[in-house]
Amino acid sequence: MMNELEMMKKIQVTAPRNFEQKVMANLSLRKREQLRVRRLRYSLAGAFMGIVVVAAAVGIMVLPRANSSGFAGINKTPPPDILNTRSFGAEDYIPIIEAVDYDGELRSVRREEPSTVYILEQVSYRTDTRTKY
Amino acid sequence: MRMDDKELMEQVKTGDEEAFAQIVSAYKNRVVNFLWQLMGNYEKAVEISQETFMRVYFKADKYQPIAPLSSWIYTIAANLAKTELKKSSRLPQVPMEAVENFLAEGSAVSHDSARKDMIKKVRQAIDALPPRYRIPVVLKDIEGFSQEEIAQMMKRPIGTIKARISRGRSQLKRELERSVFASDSLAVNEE
Repeated sequence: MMNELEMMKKIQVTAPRNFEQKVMANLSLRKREQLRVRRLRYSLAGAFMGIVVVAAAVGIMVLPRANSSGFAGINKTPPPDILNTRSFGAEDYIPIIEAVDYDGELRSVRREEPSTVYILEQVSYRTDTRTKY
Repeated sequence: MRMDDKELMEQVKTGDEEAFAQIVSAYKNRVVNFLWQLMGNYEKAVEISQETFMRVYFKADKYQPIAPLSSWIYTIAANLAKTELKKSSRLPQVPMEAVENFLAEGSAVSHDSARKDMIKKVRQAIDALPPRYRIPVVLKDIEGFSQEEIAQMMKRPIGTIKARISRGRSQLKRELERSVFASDSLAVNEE
């Protein structure tokens, strides 16, 4: 069997004539391809970074302003009145308590009219039913 | 001035195409021949040789000058051939006529028909070997590498390589005997 293998050893094939040119052409093609892929990768990375920067800028500059105007008080603890009304199961409302000038509401006892005391009472059924004087 | 392999590889690592061209020029015939011996298909051998040199260029930074450059190039070629052989084992094989035609056209091949017939049989027997036996047998018996070098190239213990060479040779012998027996019986039938 070794004779057969010796014979195979003697059979030598050679590379085709244009082998080197083909290899070099292949090489420049692959290099160009690599360059293209690298550029694509950089541009994708750049685009991603741009999106991240824009998102960060929006997060830093726009959102806090929105909080300060419309939604600033949303997370704050509500005043004790609201807490009380909520315990009654009433819907959210903004309590407005006005100062009352009782002088105008009371009539003089010196007049010959029966003295009348006006009691201000909240009328709405949807809100706090407690009487405020 | 001709630089040695180590210097050339240092140049290739920096992207020097001229140094790379020198390496291609120095090893192209050996690599093509090795791959042809392994695969029995000249076109495929040339194609994989080109891919081998591409790897040499792009993976140059992985080359360690502790081993000869030829071993490193053969390792790349053998690995690519192994992948290709596995792939092609699932595909239809190249008909033997193609090999015969190639041998008839080859410059180094004798036109003696008995010799041609023998080469064809050896080629068929080599092609019948699984890649894990074929590669070490070709590297040892045709390319002339030592068992230690083959073990280093294939990243296997030397005992494994010895066993594979031995089993590969036995299988090759059986295949050759079978083909000789088959042709003898064919000749008797024709008579």
